[in-house]
Amino acid sequence: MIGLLSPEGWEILSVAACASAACGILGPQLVLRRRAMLGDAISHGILPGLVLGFVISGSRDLFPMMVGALIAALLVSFLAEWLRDRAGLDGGSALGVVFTSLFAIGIILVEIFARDVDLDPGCVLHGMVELAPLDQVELFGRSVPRSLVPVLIALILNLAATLLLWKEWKICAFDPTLARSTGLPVQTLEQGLLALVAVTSVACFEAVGSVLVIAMLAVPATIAHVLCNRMGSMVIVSTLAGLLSAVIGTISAEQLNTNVPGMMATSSGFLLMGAVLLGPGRGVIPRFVRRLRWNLQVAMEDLLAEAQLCAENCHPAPTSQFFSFRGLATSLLQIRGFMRAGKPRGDGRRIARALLEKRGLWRRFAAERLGLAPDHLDDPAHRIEHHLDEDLTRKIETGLESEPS
Amino acid sequence: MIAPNTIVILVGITALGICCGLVGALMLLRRRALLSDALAHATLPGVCIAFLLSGSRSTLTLGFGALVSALIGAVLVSRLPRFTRVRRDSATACILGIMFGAGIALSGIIQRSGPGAAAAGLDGLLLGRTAGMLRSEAMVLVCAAIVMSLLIFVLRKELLLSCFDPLFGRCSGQATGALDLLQTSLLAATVVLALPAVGVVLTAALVVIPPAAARFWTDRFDPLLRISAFIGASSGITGTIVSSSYPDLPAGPVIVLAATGFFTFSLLAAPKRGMIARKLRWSSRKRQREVRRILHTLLVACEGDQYSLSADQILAGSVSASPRALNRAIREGFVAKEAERLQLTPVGKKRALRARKSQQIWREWLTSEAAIDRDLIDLDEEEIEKLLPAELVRSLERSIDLREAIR
Repeated sequence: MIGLLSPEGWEILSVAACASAACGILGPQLVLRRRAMLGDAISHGILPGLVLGFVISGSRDLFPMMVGALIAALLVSFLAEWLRDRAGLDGGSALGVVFTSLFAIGIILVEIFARDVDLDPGCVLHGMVELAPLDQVELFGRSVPRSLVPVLIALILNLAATLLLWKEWKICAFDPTLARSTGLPVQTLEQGLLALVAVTSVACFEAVGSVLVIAMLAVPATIAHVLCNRMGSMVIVSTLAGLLSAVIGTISAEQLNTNVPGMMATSSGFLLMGAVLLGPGRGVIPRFVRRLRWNLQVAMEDLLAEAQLCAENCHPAPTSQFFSFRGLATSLLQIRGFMRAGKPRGDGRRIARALLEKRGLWRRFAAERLGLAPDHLDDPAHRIEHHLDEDLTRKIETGLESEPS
Repeated sequence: MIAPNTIVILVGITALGICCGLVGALMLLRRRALLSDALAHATLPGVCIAFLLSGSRSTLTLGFGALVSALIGAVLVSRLPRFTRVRRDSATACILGIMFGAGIALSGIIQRSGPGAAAAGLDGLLLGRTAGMLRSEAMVLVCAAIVMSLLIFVLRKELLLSCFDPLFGRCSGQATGALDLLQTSLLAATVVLALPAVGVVLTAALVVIPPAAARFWTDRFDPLLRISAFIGASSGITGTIVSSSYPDLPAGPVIVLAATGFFTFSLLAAPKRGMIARKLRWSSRKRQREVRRILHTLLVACEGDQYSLSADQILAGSVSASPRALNRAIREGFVAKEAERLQLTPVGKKRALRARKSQQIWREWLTSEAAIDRDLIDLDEEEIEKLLPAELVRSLERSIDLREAIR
């Protein structure tokens, strides 16, 4: 495992992992509030704040840039909400208008101050995580990459806020009306969440670029949303998915000799694909397999019942083509020993009899209690017989024996 | 003097603005404005793959790659919410992040494997270079604008239905899926056309901002499309002219800021939905309410054998009425002023009585129908007769009369 990465690789990984964990913790809050696009909007909209903070302080110090970005981020959300609520614009449109305009202002500012500033718009997007090991600082007696510090701070902040405000955020996410009626400062809480998103964006932007912020705020949380049913497990899964995509991304970036944030976003995409396709219970493939198995079972039961009827009435056994669904069901029945030479055997006979009994029972029930016409009885009985379990069958039996109410 | 090159750019940008405005208006009405942002970002992997496969940097090859990958992104955004519990906004954000990340990774591979500055052309996509527009590109943009306008003109009815009542469209046998695909393809094509001119992020701006501005001016479909295309084109022209006189400024962001300027102007000055019009309407309603309160105070005084009141007495007696409202009441002839004493004119008295009547009906309705405590009601609503059905008003009036008679 250690051989997979060079020493620099491990340092890059530590920065990338902290960044994606910081985003992964916060992501579920945005996804649950249906504001996943906010990550994209904020990471673009903070550009003018960053540039102004940079120009005014005249240094590459993180703090003034952070303050500028924070103001810009709050401006994005405040303006977007104002446009939506007061000017009657669609929410998505409002957000789009605000953040693209701010981004345009940011680019113009970069161009104006380009001589004084070594801020490259491309660098804003990709970040320079590969250069992290070159710039070291002392932290607790160990030499660590300088860009690890802000990311670590963001991670700790997000973790602390999530643990402290767990209940409050949960109510705000799932039932804002209840939150407001119980006297929670909903407005302040939401503003705090936005401020955290902004802080995280800035810290990660410095370390790994805004591409990663956009992907890591949305994708791990969506993976968790696909897989989980509770907010607790969602936050944990989202953080783990973020960490996992950091590991895969860093390793594959080193193998393919390309940039880390891009590969991290790509690997998170593969994780999302995996979750959507294979997710237990709701995944596309498990759902398909479940449906296939059920259809096979229905086909087998139908075949058995049919063969049983033919055997009782001394008709020739029904035949089916080999390369068909029924053919598959027939061969499965023969393999299991439920049917031989077109006649049900052993357990097969028992299953067929039970099924025919249920069919008759439902026909009687539909005719006597539901008052259906005789020519409307066959089809539903044929379908419902597969769904009647022991319990329900007994209930219908006792119901039919008692006096009609 | 305008250089010939500037004319080419102006023509191209105008056509681009029309395309973006038209498609953007459709997207605004379907509440998918941010899809344009996702698609613009999703073009990047396609561009890189096209470059890796063909090795050429021709606009056609790269554009084809971009179009294909934008369409794949669009299909994923629309399919994810259908097959999983992922919501539309998460799907948009995810596809945006993943595909853009993949594009960045691919461009990293190109950058480090290729010997030349191959990536320079790709980097141009991120921020765009309007000034480098060629005559052929401008021609393509003009053709695209013409085709798009014709298409929307021909399919007007179907598009209208798909924007406002897709369910009805499906019930009446419309090929909703095909229409959906058509609109998404139009968006993808527009985004791909706009990319070289203004870059990834600002493409979304050109699709989102003009229709949002146009929405303030109208409540109808055709004018919305027309105004949106007009604003798109004019912000393109304004931005190009401004940036050509300041060569330091990149044209893309300036065009977007011009669009933002149009948006802000519309937000403030539009006749019905604009903020100034809203504010004026609101304050005139407020003034009317104050006048009604003043008339009511005077009416009560009149009934209590006080023929006239002083201005101070009126303002003390009626809640939140301002001297301005009093002046307005005098100006409109409801109140007459005689030697610092104020009294109701016959017109004013009629008006006050009518207001009282509406108030009574309102109160009666609130207590009988809405079951609210009588003491809690202190509303002086406008003419209630217009708000409630006539039959209900009559029955309420009867019960008021009954109560008065008993008293």
